[in-house]
Amino acid sequence: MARTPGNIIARWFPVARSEEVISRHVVQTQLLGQEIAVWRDDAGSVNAWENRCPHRGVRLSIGFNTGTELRCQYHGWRYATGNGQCTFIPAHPGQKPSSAIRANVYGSIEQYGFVWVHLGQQQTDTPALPTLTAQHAIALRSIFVEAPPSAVAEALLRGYRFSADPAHPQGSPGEILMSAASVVAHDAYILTATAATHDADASVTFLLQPMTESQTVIHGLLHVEGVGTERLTVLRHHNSQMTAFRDAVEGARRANSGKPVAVQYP
Amino acid sequence: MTTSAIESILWDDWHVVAELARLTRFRRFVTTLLGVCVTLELDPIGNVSARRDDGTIAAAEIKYGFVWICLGSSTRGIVEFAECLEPDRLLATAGSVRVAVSGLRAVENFLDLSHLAFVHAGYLGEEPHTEIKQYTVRPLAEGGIIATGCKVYQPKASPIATEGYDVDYIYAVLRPYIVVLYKANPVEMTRKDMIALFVQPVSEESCVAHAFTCYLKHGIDPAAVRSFQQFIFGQDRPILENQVPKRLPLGVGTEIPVRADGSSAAYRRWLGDAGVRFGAISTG
Repeated sequence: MARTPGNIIARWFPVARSEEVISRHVVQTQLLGQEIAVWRDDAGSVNAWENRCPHRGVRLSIGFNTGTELRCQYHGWRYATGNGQCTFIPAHPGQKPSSAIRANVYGSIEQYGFVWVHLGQQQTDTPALPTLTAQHAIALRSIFVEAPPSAVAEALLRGYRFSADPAHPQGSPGEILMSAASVVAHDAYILTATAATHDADASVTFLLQPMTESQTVIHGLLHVEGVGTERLTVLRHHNSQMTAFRDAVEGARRANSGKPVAVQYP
Repeated sequence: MTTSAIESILWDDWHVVAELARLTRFRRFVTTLLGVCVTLELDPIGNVSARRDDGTIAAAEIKYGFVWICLGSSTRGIVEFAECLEPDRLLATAGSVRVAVSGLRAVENFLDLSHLAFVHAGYLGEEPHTEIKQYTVRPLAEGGIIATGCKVYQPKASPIATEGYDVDYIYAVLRPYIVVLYKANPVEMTRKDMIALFVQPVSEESCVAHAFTCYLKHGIDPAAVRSFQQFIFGQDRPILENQVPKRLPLGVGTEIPVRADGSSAAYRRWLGDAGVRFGAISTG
């Protein structure tokens, strides 16, 4: 069931786990080469903005989250949650900032334990969010890999092994082997595979966040209905499997190129 | 960018490449100016020489405690400061800081009034004294700009200041990468202390900012001057290194100025008019 990615700009990507975006903090991430500042207001709403103050270009991710506004570190300009409108310029405290001064706001939504962002025009082309099983889902640790999303997807499909029941990994009901045969749904950025046996209703979905052309974050969502599993044990298992996977992918790329993959900024 | 493409206003001018105190007779000093690797050597009688990577010699001079070089054929001399000739002045180099951003961004930050209350809170400014009153910006006849009538409330305006007061400032950009400020001396209110920033453009996206101070002598300790300037610059550096993009955009529209940014806007305009491209994103 392979689908084509379509217009990549008008597509939702996970950029952070919801639990990372904690109160009064600003999370820095990147999508398709675009740096993004993600922050939550005190009412719980999440903002995803271009990581750049419109005034003098300073990263908003080093700014201060007041709970209702993001304040730039450089000159104290404040931008409102929601529409990103500049509300206060301390150098001219008596004047209302022009409506043209606003942070560049991206479309964002929280779903399945992740913050999702798309870089398209919000009014005209808000894409549909992929449909995932959210019941009994655990958001796994997100892993950064120094490799393009296509190389990561390819490597996962070469036989990545993961067990929803780590106490009995080999041949246990919860074991999931990712391969072209076991993957029930995938496109360039989403891969879902189910457990080898049908008596356990376990599946894992990997969501790839293309940071740049050569950098990927693997987010993971595990569904373990019917498998008696300790959350912490699963998270540790995921962490060790994924760390080994990353080392293998990056190691292979280094061996092929003979040098570290260059970090690319836009 | 190949070196031959660098504009004359930079290529044929003098730039600081090292603090003289960093050089010894027994060790070469290697640095980069405008993308060109340069090796400095001090001979036994204290003369400095500069050799480019291709073996050619670049003109080198010592002034204000710094080594200056000119890669092209110099069309004008090193900047002159009349204050430096006054006998009751303490001339001191105040540190050389490498910054991963265009040197033009570093100059603009030095000119900037409205960041003082935030980046240097408790020293050169403080909330709620954030308002920037109208000041005057004019072009200089010999190139560059001057901003006069700048007033900033400062809690600790100099190493010997003990209480906050409104400080009068004058800022001048004398060359694309050289900026100077004058501020009223806390004791002799009618005279001005001077601080210059000689920015060494290393690449288009990195620089070394060399600070030079010319304070009235009384009550001033050179070590305290250095320490204060380096502390202040240490507050600016993380801001500068988080500016995106690293080069200074000269065109209108990519970054939005307000009235308080009059000197910055004039600086960008002058750079564009003067054809400065190294370290800039031109209007195209």
